[in-house]
Amino acid sequence: MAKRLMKGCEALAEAAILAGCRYYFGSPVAQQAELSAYLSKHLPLVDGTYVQAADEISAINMVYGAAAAGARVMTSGSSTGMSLKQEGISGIAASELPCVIVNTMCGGSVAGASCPAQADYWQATRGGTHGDYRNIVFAPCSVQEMADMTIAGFNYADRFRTPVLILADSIVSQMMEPVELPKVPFDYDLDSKKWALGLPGTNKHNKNVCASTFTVQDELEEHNWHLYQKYQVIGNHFNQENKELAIEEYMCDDAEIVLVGYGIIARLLKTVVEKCRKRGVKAGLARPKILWPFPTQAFKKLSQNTEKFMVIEMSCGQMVEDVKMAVNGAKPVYFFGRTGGAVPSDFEIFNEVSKLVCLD
Amino acid sequence: MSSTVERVILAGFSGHGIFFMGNVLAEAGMRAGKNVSLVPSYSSEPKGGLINCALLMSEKEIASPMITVPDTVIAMNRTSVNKFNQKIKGGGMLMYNSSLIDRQEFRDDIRLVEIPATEIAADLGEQKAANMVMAGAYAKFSKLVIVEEIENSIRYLLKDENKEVIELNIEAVKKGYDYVEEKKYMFGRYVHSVFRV
Amino acid sequence: MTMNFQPDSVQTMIVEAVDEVAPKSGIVGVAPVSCGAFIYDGFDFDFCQSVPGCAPAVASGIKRVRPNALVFTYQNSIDLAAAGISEVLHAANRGENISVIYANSDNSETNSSEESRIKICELLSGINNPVYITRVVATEKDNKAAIKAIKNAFKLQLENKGFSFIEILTVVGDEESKEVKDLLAEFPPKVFVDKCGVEKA
Repeated sequence: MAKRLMKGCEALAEAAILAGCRYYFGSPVAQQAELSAYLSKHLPLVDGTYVQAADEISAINMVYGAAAAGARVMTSGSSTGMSLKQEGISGIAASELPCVIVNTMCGGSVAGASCPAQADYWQATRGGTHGDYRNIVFAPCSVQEMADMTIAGFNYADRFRTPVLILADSIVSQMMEPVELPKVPFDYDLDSKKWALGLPGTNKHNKNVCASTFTVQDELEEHNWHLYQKYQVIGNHFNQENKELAIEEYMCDDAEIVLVGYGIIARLLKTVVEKCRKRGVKAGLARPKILWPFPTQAFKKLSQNTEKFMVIEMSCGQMVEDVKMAVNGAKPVYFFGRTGGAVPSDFEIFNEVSKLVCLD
Repeated sequence: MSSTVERVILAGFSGHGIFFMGNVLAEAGMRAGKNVSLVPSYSSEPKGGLINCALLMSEKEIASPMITVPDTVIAMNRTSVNKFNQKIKGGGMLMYNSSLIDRQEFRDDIRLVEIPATEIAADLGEQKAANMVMAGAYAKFSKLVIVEEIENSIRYLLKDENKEVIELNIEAVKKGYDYVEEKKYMFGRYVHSVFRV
Repeated sequence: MTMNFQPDSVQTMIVEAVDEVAPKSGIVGVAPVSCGAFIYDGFDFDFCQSVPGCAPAVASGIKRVRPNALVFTYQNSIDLAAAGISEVLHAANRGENISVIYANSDNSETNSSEESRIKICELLSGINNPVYITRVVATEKDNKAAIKAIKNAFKLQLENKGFSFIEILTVVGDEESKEVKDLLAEFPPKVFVDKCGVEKA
């Protein structure tokens, strides 16, 4: 199929429709205004529903309801909005409901700024609020991945009955690239989930309850261990069964220094690796495509062959600790970052890498 | 450089149609089978402020879509020149809208291309088409974009507009292309061009 | 978990109303937080819990996916009038085709709270989209008016008319006491909005 030139968030929106998503609840934000615009135009064409909620809290709770009713549903936010959504997300995770949530990260706390950043890593990968839960987190680095990961996201959300986060930054969301979308739209059956609420013909014999609060303490503990076991299964899936979906390695085989980054930073790092190689520095790139579960096994394996790691982020260093935990002290892990909306240039990163290499 | 890469920064005020110009060129590059990426300015700008976007076209797969050192800057106003003049790669090109920018002391290690885009567009009856004049002019220099594909791109991107608008834009592209072909107003110390084979 | 008076009694009213309206394609209730969170135990149809105050938003989501199902929220003052006051206002403003049942237990000793002093019916009457807003009184002896109001709301929903809101003022204690009389003077039971004329029919 011919490629189409699309903005990241438009490709994501189109992919969601192709994946069978017919419900979107959200409020437009600058970094992804085109996402809302695209869906408000295209969802009605496929008998879908687009609701512009009054605020982010309303939006995520409508997602809660729609997911409980068995639909493929999506919402999106941009850092500030994500914080407002957190309570709802925890409810969705604890009630084991599938949905896709998009975060186009921008810099800073509270109101922040409209510039790109990766400062929401902890919030995204550590659950986000109180309670023992985690969410699957995808980190796209190109417009093509915005589309592919959205489709994968819906499938994994349904498979594991858990929210899936698409953690993009405002550059990937706003940039345009050619993208190839799957040709045949996914045919989703709204009544396929037997646990869903409001199924036609529901009566007292198959009453469905969607709840995450338990009166008896033992029940809650049992539920939490159940969730824990599910997260273990998800972790194994991405670390062993489906490794290639979790990490991209570029020129890592003989690398003395492995650069680690996700999202738009990984694209910069590829240029840096090429620069390094031209100058005889054996650099490689490891790009986690899924941030939770973190590709721990892959990093463990990398640490056997390489000398050192360097994590580059648009934050004060949030992914560093995941890399350190994976490497487990076997090799040193260094960090370079810019924050508050500043994007490091490839020259800047190259200089930092050179400094490290010269240390030897 | 073994394979051809063109790093272009397009800049101007909001209302100059900077992003549309980038969109048209990127679409044309893609139609010609090249790898393309277009990143709009991501920093916060006040209303009515400077808009820019980074257009990258390459025969190879594009690693980083960000541009630190552009080969070419297409500037629609003076502020854009001030902002990007120093960043242009030595031997690169500054293509500017001479209807709005006075000839001044520019760098002497880059190729300067003066296009009176607003005037050319005004002759066609619509000043706003100046961006398409610039796009056409750039096509004359580019190795990756051909003017026919720009026309096709405009037809595709403006498919919801009426025929007159489409024809006006295409006419503007042709005028820009022809203007460069006639090589009027070319000046500046020519060092070497990134586009030279 | 022992049910206290308010949710338990409202529960019976809902069951009676549902039985009379007898929707054919699914019923979904949305429960609040705090007392009433486990209201679903007593019903024999689908139920969904929600985060504090967000039951109207959850119900909106469910209704959008299941337009033929009967979707209602049951909320108390802590849930509806404090944490979720914006949710109920915006659901009303969007004219969502759901029914909100608000159990205001203002004079109950266990559940009395400052936020239950807010006159939600009066507040919602300032919005154009709701089709039915009413406040009814329910006592231990007499809950007929409340059941009728709930029934009206459910009927309107099944006819796709739009947003309906029932405030049930649950009164405990001596009805002749000054306390109760003052309460009823301040919160008069009446129909605020009735666009479809269900009260007269």
